[in-house]
Order: sequence, then structure tokens, then C-alpha cells
Amino acid sequence: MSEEYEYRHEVEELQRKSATAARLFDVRRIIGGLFVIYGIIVLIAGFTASDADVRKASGININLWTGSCVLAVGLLFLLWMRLRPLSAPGAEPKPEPARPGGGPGAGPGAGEPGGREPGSGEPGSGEPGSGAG
Amino acid sequence: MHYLAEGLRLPTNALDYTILILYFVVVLGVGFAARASVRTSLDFFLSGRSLPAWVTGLAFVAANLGALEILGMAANGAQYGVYTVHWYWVGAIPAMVFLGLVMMPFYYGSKVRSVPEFLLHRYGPSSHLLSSIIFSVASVLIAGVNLYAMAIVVEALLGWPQWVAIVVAGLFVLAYITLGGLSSAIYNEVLQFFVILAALIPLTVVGLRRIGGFGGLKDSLTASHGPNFVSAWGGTGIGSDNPLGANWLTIVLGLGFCLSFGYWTTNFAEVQRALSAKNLSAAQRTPLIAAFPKMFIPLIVVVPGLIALVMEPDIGTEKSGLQYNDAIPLLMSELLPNGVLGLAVTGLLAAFMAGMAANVSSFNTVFTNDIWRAYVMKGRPDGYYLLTGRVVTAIGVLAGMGTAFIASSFSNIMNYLQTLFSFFNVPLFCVFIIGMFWKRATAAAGFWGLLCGTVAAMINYFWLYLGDVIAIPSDQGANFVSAIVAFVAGGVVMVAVTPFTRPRPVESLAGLVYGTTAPGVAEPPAPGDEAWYRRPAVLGWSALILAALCYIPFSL
Repeated sequence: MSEEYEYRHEVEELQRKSATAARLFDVRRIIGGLFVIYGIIVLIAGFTASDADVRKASGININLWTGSCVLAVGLLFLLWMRLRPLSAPGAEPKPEPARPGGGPGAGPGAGEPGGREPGSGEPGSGEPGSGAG
Repeated sequence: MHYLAEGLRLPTNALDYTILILYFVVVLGVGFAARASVRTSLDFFLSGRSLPAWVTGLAFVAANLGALEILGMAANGAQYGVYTVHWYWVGAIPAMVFLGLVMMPFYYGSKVRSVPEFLLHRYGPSSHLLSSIIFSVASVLIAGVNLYAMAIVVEALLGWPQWVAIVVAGLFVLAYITLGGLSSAIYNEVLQFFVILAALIPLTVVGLRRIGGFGGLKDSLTASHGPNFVSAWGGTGIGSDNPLGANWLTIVLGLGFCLSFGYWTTNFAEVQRALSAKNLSAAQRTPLIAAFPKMFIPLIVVVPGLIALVMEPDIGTEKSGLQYNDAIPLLMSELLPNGVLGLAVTGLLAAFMAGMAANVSSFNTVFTNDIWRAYVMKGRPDGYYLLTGRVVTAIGVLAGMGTAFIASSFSNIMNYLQTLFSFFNVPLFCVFIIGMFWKRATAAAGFWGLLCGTVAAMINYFWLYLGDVIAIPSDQGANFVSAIVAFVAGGVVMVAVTPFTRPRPVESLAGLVYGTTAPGVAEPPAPGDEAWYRRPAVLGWSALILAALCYIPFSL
């Protein structure tokens, strides 16, 4: 029987030594940063759009719309990260018991047109930042 | 199948390329930044089982939202019409909910590191080795087919030679997974998910406006293809004729139950995302959170396929020179000005890389843990397996690139191989579900159920269908029927073999079968997880109800 469960002990042991929770950066920073830059680039294209561009996109200045939405999503991610930072960056690995309680967090991408995000409808589907976010 | 017309070259400019290059830089940067977090093999293969549910949930969607899926589902939309929504609402959603509510406690709670490893502990080495080898070969093959498909699209859209696209995309995937392991694959998938949305939403909006909104879309398709084309269930009575070649029974049982449950609940490329979550509650919520965006993906994938059909009624015929697979590239070149066009190209490339990265990161885990470590080099220190994982990643990507080059001369064979491997998931699901709920099911029953189910599906598809012994109107219809055959054959063989073979001792099944608990202390729930909106049952049932409601506009 003990042999049967050896792998479970091994996984538990590895999980204790694991560095991911403590050392993995916050993905919200990457998404936020890239989307802010993308938003600005596409907005510039929107401000300088020619009549031909607008006509091609069935009469919408799509660059302007997309650029502002993308920028808004990027800023929301940065804001969310600011409001709920990771709990214990670089502290002991696996700060399991010391997690902050849950509470409402901004849903990811709440500004996305059409509200396609799991969190956009309900406040609090955002995780409280702990572990890696 | 993957041929793209000459006339699709996009008028890209420096702005579009800036967006694209920026993306490649960030993808690589994520790999380098994630490297610091890899200390053990568990970090490399399962992100140390530490990620929050929203990250793993979005990665769960993105791992499936490869470009083959996007282009293919848009093509299905143009070819079969609104029936394509069945892949999502009767197919994916119930299966994802089932994975989260019913199967995940066994997967995550038993602390296995892969789907085949569950077979090892539940049934024993024979079925474990069989499924590990088939999964590994299939992953490399699918990664290769994915790369090849990308090379063709990129050649048509941007004018890069095929080998350049294969080498560039392959090396980027190799670099970021070798460096950061699953964490960097998952982080990039989350990023890819949002980039894909930013690419497809504007495309759909502009396209709808061009043809007069949803009303205009419905009117022109009804006029040209009849009312059943814009309905989900119209014309699916048993014996009646429809473009999909399937009736409501084969749709619900074959596509909904057998094929989709087989794919979503046993495909390790998907389940791996949930296994990397930080606790059982987060693991259960991974596919449930994923179900919500998944439900709305037809809006930005199938609808563009329909729009393309209205704008170019000859698509898919000789006359236009365009294939159904060209639907989304066609809309990109017709509708998007520079700027958004760059986003769309980036989104498409991101989707290709997401699909391939999911295959590679699950392949390296299964090959290292379930083949190399279990049967070839046992009992080495953890660092050895971490290094092996990195080497296997590189080998897997290079093999995928090789497959891509082979695929360019033998694309028909590749299609058959994919069909063949798709049959393996269905009996695998059958073996899992029986094993999880029936203590008595024996090791031999698991192995023979797996093998006989797969063979039965292949006989049905390759001999009875392709040999014209039975009449099924289309490939898709035949797929659905083969899946039902595989499930029934696998189940019957298991039930038949079990009474004559020795069961596994009950104490070795703790935590693997319904009604038993894993030894040791159960993990305490994390604070905050008891909130009602985080309860798996609430999430799961609301996903199911919402999916059923989605059918209403297409059934009246």
C-alpha cells in the first residue's frame, strides 16, 4: 500500500519545494502593458485614418473603436493588478494558510465589447491575488 | 484541403508589422521571465500546482482556440450553416461542466500529474503505456499539422515562404516552453486569448455592418440556402436530409456525448491546464470558468463564416477558387484597414502558436513522466527529469517541424491520421467513466476496452463508411456514428471482460473511484472559496442553462 501512494508523497514534496507560487510574475502586468501599447498604436491609426480606410470597414472608423476598447482593457488589467496585488511576492514558497480573504475584484476584461469574460457580469469572479496571478 | 487562393494577400504595412513584432518580443519575454519560477519538475510540468482559476480557465479555452479550430469552425459555418453551434452548445459546454463537476475531484484529488497517469493507478501499466504512446505520437503529429496549416495561411496572407513560417513559429514555441515550462505556455495562452478576441471582434462587427446586421445575415441566407440553414435543429429529424449528414440522435449522442466528452475530459492538453490550478476548488472551476467564454465563441467564429458566405456566395466551389477554410482570411483582406489588420494577423498567428504550444507542453509531460520515467529511467533525482523535460520539449518541437514538412507532400494521409487519433479519446472516456464509478472494473478490462473501442470505431469509419457498406451522407455524420460505436464497443468489452479477470485490491483504489477517499488529510478550502459565485455547482449549472438558452433564437 505504501508503494501505491509513493507518487502522492512525491508530488506533495515537490509542491512544497515549488518556486512557481513565490517567483512567478503577475500575468496581468503583461496583458495590461501590451494592450495599452496596442491600444495607442491602433488609436493613432484611427486618428490618421483615410477615407478609403473608413470605406473599407463599411463606414466605421474601426481603428478608433478597437483602439479605445483595447486601451481600456489594458488599463483595466493594470488597475485590477493595482487594487489586488499578489499577496506575498517572494516570501516563503506556498503561503497557503496566509491568504487574504476573498472579495470583489474587477472581472478580467470587463471593458471588452459584448462582455465575453467570465467575470464581466458578476463582481468578484476575479481571484484574490495569491500564488501567481 | 488547406489550399489558399492567391488573391488573399493582405495589404500589410509597417504599422501592422510593428504590432506583430511586438507580440513576438512579448511572447519570448514571458518565457525568460517565467524561467525564474522553475525549480522542480513539478514547476516545469504543472506550474507547481499553484495558478489561480481565472488564469487556468482562460488558458483552458485558449489551448483549444488554435487557428485550426478558428479557421475550421468558420469553414463549418460557411459549409453547414448554423448547425455548427452544436459543437459548442451541445458538445463542448456539457462536457466541460461534466469535467469540472464530476471528474476533476478524481483527477486533481488523486494528485496524478497527467491523464495517462490516472490510468496507471486505476488500471495498471498496460493501458497506461498504450494511452501514453498514442497521446505522444498524436500530439507531435497534430503540432506538425498545425504548423503546416499556419505556413500555408501565412504564405497566402503575408507572402512569407512556407519554410520561414514553420521555422520561425516553431523556434519561438520551442524557446518559450523550454525556458518557462507550463507556466510560460499558460501565461502566453491567456495573452493569446485576449489578442484573439481583439482580432475577431472588430472583424465580426465590421462584417455584420457590411451585410446589414443579424437581420440581413438571416434574410440573405434564408433566401439563398433555405430556412434550415439558419436553424439549429431544423431538418435534423431521423431520415431527413441536411447538409451536416446527421440527425438529432447522432448529434446528441455522437457529437454531444461521445466525441465531446471524449475530447474535453480525457485530452491531456486541456486537462493539464486544470491540474496546474492551486487547489481542488480552482481545478474544478477551471473548465467551468472556461465554459462561459466558450459559449460565445461561435459569435466571433461561426458568424464570420456565415458572413463570408453572404459576401462571397461561391466560396467552397471551383468558381471562386476559395475554400471554406478561407472564410476568415477573406474577411480580413476585404474589411480591415491597416492597424486593426495588424491585430488580426497577430491574433491568427497567436492562435496557431497557442494550439501548438498546448500540444507541445502536454507532450513533454506525458513523454517524460509516463514513458521515460515510468518505463525507461526510473528513480533518478528530480533535476534529471526537469532536464529531460526540457530536452523532450526541444525534440518534440523539432519532430513537429519535421512533420510539417512531411505534411506538405502527404496532406491526405495526415487527415486520415488525425481522424484515426480522434477515435482514441472516445473509448478512453468510456474506460475512465467506468473506472471512476465501478470498483470491480479490472486492469484487463481497461486495456481491452480501450483497444476494442478504438478498433471498432476504425472499422466503422474506414471499412463500413469509406467502403460504402453503410450509407452515411457526410464525413461528419460518419464521425458521430463511429464515436457512438467506439463508446458502446468499449463499454461492452469492459463489462464482458471484468467478471473473468482479477479485480485490483480495493485499498489501492482509494481516491481513484467514486465512494473512496484519498489517504491523508484533505486540503482545507482556501478562504474566499466558499463564496456562492465560486461554488462549482453554481457555475456549472448556470453554464448549462445559459447554453440551453443560447439555442432559443435558432430554434423558433
